[in-house]
Amino acid sequence: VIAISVVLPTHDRASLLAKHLLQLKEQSLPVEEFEVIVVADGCTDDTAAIISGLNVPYRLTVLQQNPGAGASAARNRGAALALGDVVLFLDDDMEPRRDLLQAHLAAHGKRAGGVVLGYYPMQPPQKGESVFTKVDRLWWAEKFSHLALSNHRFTFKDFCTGNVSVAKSAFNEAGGFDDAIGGAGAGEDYELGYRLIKNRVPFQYVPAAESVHHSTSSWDASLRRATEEGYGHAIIARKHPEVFHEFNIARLSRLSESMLLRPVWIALWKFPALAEPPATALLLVARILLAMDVQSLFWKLQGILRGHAYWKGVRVALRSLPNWERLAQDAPYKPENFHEVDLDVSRDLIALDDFIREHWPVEAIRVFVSGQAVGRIPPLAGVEALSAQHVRACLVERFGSALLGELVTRKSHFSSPAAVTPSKPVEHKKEVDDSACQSISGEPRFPR
Amino acid sequence: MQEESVSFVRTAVLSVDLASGVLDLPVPSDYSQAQVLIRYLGTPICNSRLQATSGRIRGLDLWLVAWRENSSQLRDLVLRDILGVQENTDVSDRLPSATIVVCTRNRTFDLRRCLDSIVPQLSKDVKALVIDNNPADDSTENLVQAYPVRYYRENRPGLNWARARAARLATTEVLLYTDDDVVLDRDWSAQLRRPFADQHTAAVAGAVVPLEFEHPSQELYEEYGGFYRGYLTRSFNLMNTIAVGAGRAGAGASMGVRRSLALSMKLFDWELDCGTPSYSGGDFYAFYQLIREGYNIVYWPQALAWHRHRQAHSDLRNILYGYGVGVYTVLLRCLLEHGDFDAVLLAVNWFRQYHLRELCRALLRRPKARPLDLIWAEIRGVFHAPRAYQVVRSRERQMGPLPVAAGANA
Repeated sequence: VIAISVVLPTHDRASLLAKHLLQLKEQSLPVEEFEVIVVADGCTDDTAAIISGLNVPYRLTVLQQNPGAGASAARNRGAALALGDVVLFLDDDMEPRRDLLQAHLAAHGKRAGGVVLGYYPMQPPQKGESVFTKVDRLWWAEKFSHLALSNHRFTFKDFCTGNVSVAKSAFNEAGGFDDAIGGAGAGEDYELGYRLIKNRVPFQYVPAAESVHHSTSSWDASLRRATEEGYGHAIIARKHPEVFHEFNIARLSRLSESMLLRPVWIALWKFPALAEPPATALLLVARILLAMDVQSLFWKLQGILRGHAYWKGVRVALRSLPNWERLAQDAPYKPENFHEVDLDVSRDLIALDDFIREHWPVEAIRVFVSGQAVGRIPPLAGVEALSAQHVRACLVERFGSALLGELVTRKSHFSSPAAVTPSKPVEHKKEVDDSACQSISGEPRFPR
Repeated sequence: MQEESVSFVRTAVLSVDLASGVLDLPVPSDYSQAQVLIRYLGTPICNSRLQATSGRIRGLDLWLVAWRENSSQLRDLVLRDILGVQENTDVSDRLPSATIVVCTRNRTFDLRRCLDSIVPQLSKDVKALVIDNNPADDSTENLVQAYPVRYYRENRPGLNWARARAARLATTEVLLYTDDDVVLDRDWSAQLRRPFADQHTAAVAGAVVPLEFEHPSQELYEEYGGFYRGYLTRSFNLMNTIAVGAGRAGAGASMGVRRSLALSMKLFDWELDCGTPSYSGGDFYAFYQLIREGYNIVYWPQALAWHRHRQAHSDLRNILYGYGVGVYTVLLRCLLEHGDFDAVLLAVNWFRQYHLRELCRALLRRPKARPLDLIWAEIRGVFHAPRAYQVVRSRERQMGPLPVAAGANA
């Protein structure tokens, strides 16, 4: 019985793809339990011929798609044919580790109906690779180390299609990828991630579900990517205005608000060609700096040029400045519907896990200390509901002073040196912790 | 320059962990003040000078000082502890095996203390190796025999060659380098191994704090040549720094490197650092190569090493001269061998903003200006760097790569 279907969109990378299809033979999961669906997205090389010539023990389906339909459509078509209850979206430049499928399935077994994010670090550094490849690798490494933190709160931006599996039911309920973004833009994965989070689909990160990402990057590619992102983010922001502020598209307003730059800004939207000569000149200077390896100056110019490329994408999607301004003005700072609860630290902290379970899903919290309001953990668009662990971390980060004040006024170890036993400091530490926790809980020792 | 000033007051160096409560800290009777490293559950918060009253420092004062110096970190640590908020998952099963490497030369007095602090840290996964670098006698060898550590005599002079030899001799995943004039904190090796649980960590640098303030030059050293880099964990890589900024990551007195990288990238196989014409810079150049190749270096202040600063003023002058030579020799190397023009920008900026500025301040006798002779020593070092670079390069060519070890002598 097929339990997991691997959907693998590809575009003109026949030899790489063939290698990875052969590697899938080595999976620890029995070959009867998975299938692979390759969607050739407007391929002009010999992809189809090479794949049909492969001899693989698992069920392999190849779909052809006309050029221009894009990766979103390819993934949707693949997922529609999937026989398994779980669909794993894998990119064609991934080298799967032996336990990849097994780990994905096991995680779904633990928590059905959800999303499992796999781990796909880039290949180790090589001699002669470009600095952009290096920076990409560092970026991904940092992303995965954030995902691995025990109090990480999943957001829609954690949903990236390189190596991610979704329960087919959740995928269908959300309606699959948005075809409008996948063609000319990037970010279709974020967009689906947003709808999944909104549907309260649980996310997990499973480092054991590992594949190596063979990717190289160049400067031209990174500028092209910026344009695609601009386009994609504009479309996502139009579709879900509440995530407008999550993207760089919101930061374009700095140009709009400056008195000096505003006329330039208006002119650029009307006549984008005006930006081309200075951009070309900057590009030339940046190229020289890159060739001379003056990276400190290069990265400053690169920031400007990337911003320009990003804006070009935004402009293609939105067409005119008023459209962008409408988007910026109408974008709400919080989601439309959210579940907010009141939490009194003095009362609820000791049994926080029960409190959160009782009120699930908690998306925003008004925080009180002994009946006094001290602030709020605000609702965020596209972020999973709060767990007790998230709340604790949030309280420490944002309400540390208020919490500490509570401890001090409730006569914890700060003002009771009498309880100190200098001979056994380690044991004493334990004692301090307990008393402090009890004093937070309040009632038993210090009735109000 | 006067060697000993009449008004100099010795300072005791103490360490306290606030997690043990509000405890008074006794100060040894022959000191009137203390430099106290204040920690909470092992994480350093600040290193402050406090006056002793009737032989002790009040516990409440310690809390207040920590609060004044670094309230945000103290608050976070206390609350995280009480609420049980743990950011990082438990990595104790993923710690790599390690070799503690001490490179030494004719300093048995310091080495003994260093080894005494290493022995309690040894275990199945943690070994120790002493590299005796071109010694003048066999005093080091005799001393080491009494300890459960491996000894190797490396006759090619130069701290970096000793480090390179250690990389070839060790068999563990990571190398934890330290100096012989350092006393390691109890958890040093355990803490320095921790960030390696993340496979993207190529190197780790620990915090280096002063071991004693018995002489005026030790105060001066801490102020000018010191290793202070704050107590916040951070990482250094191409996303947040340029490669020539690698020196900020840490120092050779407390650093860990993956052995595979030390070998494959030849991190230490250069005529740099003590015992060579460049006097210093071996650690800087290793970090530079790692960052440039796209690796990640973690500064992990929980790993503490207590460094005994030089006592004589002339030693301090020589060390600062050596820093001047070493840093600019490495920068020249970055420019000429890696074609890295950032090295030029950095060299010019440093010289203008640091060396020249301090020179002017000293000449104008500005408040808190540094002693002129120290600044001058460093500037002399800078101007000797090109010559040093030339000598270093020709010697590297003459000597060739480090020869294979002549039989393992345990």
